[in-house]
Amino acid sequence: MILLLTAALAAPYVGPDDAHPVHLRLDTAASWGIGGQMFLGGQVHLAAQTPVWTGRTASATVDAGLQLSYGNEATFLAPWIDRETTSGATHRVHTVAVAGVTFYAGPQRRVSVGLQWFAGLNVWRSDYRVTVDTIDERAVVQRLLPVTGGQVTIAARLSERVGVNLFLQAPLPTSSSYAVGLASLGVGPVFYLR
Amino acid sequence: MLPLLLACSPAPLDATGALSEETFYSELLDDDYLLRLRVPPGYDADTALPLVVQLDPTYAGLEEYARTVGFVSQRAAAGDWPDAIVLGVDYPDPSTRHRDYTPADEPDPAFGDPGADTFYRVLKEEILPHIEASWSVDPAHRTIVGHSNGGIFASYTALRYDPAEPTLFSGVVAADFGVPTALLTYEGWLAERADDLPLRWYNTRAVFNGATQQILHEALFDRVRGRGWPSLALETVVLETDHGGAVSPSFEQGLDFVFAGVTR
Repeated sequence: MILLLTAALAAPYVGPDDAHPVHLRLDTAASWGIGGQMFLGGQVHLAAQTPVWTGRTASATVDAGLQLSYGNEATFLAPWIDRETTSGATHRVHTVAVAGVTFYAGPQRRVSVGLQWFAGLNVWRSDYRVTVDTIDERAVVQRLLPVTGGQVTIAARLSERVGVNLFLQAPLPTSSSYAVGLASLGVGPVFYLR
Repeated sequence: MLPLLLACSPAPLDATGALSEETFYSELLDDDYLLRLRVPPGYDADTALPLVVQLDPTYAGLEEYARTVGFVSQRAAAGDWPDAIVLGVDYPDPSTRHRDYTPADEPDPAFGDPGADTFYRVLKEEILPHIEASWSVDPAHRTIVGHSNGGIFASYTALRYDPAEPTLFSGVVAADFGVPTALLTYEGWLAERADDLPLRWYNTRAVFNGATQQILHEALFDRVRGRGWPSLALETVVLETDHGGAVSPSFEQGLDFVFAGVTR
């Protein structure tokens, strides 16, 4: 990964290529957020982007894509949980479709701001073992729920193929925030595939 | 997160009757409580009424006292429930609840710990006698209602039953609480000293609190059920919501369950 990034950064930058009617972009990120408690996780977001407007110093695309997110509410992130008696975690997976617009500006239009709406399915799974007193039990509680919400993505293109993105995402409270999450943010590399 | 939960919660129903507040000094704790009282319309001192004791009346903006007062007011007006006096045991600083509601990690068999043991004495020896000296309460129909740590304390009062003494609470509504291991200890002690538990006990937990709460709730209430106490009416309910969403349904359904045992 380091070698790939180094090679990408060393490559000459090529500006927006209007030869392609559809650009492909893969945003990846390590994430932190709040659900029932704090969680850590990751997110990948593949988007197809179609230029819809080009100005002298900025341009815009309409985007559509798919996003997969995972969040893990580990016990070490919740100081009120006694880790001597309780093990396990709560898991949250979003599989969503994403649509929105992205504005490109700045030198060689390297900087972008995307405003997106997402909708799809959320799997919430609470899986713990408790060993205390005479109790030694494991239980799993799981729910499949719809999820929808908004996100903002800011990205900087560092080379022709690689950049960095920062996202902030918040589901609407259509169900308990413990299940669908309250908010998350993440940062990671973005790959401009085409 | 709390404002988001509150935004989704319905407002408390309209209160009827006379609402008042008074500062009450506890000699046991050398501290003040703020007692909130709802007395039904048409109160008659010759008629003893059920008493509902609400914990956490105003904590964290959840309006638990206002919710219970609203439910009692409207359901009594509709003829569903007996009318009742509602007592909110509040504090000048509502976060003082942390001192009162939680049992010690290693409970004292003589019930002499600070925290829940002492607050139980404050209720039994100071606050309830004070209220019942002024208002006509049926001591056979006192109910305690609590959510979260208040639910822990409400459950604690259930497990403090002593067949050698009059029952302090005949109804317990314990909403969405974590089960500390101390409650398992108290349950074991109760089984040693009593062969019955004359109580209507309604418990809830919110499903989105997850598996840990499920394991400990099931452990406690499986044990309680297993005792076969003949006078115990026990209901345990899993609500498809989270901690904040559990307040109103727990209180309304819980009081419905408790009042089903009150002869009118």
